[in-house]
Amino acid sequence: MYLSGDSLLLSLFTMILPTLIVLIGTIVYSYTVIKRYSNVLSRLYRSSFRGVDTERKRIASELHNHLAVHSISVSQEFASLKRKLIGEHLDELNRLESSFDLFHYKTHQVIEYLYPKELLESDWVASFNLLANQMSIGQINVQFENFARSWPKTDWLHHTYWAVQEIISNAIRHSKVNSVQISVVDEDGNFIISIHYKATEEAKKWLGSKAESNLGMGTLIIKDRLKTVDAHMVIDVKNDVVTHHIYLKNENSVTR
Amino acid sequence: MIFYHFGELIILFALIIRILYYSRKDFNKLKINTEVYVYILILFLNNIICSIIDNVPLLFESYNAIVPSLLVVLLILDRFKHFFIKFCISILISFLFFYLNNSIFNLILYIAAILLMLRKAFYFTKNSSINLHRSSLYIIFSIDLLFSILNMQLGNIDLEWNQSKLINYLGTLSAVVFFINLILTHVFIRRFFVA
Repeated sequence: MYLSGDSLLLSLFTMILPTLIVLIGTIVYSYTVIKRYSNVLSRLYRSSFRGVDTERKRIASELHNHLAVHSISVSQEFASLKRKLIGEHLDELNRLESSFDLFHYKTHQVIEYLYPKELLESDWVASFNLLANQMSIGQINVQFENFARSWPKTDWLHHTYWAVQEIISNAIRHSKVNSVQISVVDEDGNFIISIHYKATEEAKKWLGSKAESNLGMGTLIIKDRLKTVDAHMVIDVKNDVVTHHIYLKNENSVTR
Repeated sequence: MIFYHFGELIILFALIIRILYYSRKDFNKLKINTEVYVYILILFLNNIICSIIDNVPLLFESYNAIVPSLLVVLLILDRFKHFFIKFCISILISFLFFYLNNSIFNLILYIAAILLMLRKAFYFTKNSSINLHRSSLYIIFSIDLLFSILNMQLGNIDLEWNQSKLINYLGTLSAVVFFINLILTHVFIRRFFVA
């Protein structure tokens, strides 16, 4: 006995319906599991960055204490030797002392840049001022301008600071620029950090290659740091200037 | 097909032995997520009965009546504390549907069983990581039930399927899927006994 067309269609429908249910169910289940694992990865990233920052702070603190203790004892030794030496030996000792002072100053500077005091004090303006000074070496000139009247959560300063430092390092290293400008402004509940530099040929080539591959330790660090503080970055090239805009939510925004 | 039946029997037997081994210290563990163990037990019994009794249509109808109704009742009564009452209700209802033997009821029960399995899998994904690993088994069982529905519906269409190559391929595909799912059940069953 053969079925009519309608009952055959109904039978086919009763086979397609459960197939669709299982297919959609499996897809939604896979999406749920992947989302759960990506949340776990984000938490892991955040805690690993926190670990890195804590370790950096600890190393800076230990180096600072170590340098302080030893520089005091060495200075005392120099002072006692100066009382005993004369002539050429005294001149040699003075040269040695000035070399040691230079070494002390440079080491102190490195320790400061390793974990700036301003980051400890959670001072946004002072931190970025220090960053601009730190990155201005030799012919490289980095300037910072502040147009903001309010700043985001202090917890976010560390990640933003290191992300901006990485962006400027990339600009200097890959785009071969000598002048970088950082400006900050807060408007409409957003805190916007803009990093401007000239759109050299190297810059255009490098930005183009980054857009395709998105690889590179520095780029990954920037992405992860910004993701941790729920920020996003937009890069645009206009009038021969490359600008990286970093948008952070600013709950402390002052409405005009 | 003899090799398939033999292979399935060995895997199911090993699965039953493993379940009994893991639950030897505390049989109360079998009272949680009962539908998993009941389904495995039914597959095992079905395999043995198929080897003994030659009446394929009767076995086919009884399997398709009992399995979905049992799973639906056990999943609905998942949070019910009294295990013995829950088990008796599920047995009674599954025999009621076996007595009624209506293909439409069976189909509705199969779809309900799939939906309840998927629902439990999603519920487990929001839970601890142990439950997240357990949820995979419910997806595997949903796929098993899907192929059971396909075979049941094709059996209910009164046509001569023997000459059909496509139906033979579907039969082979069903056997492969069932076999792989049994192996995957071996992989995930341990999660049900880990604290």
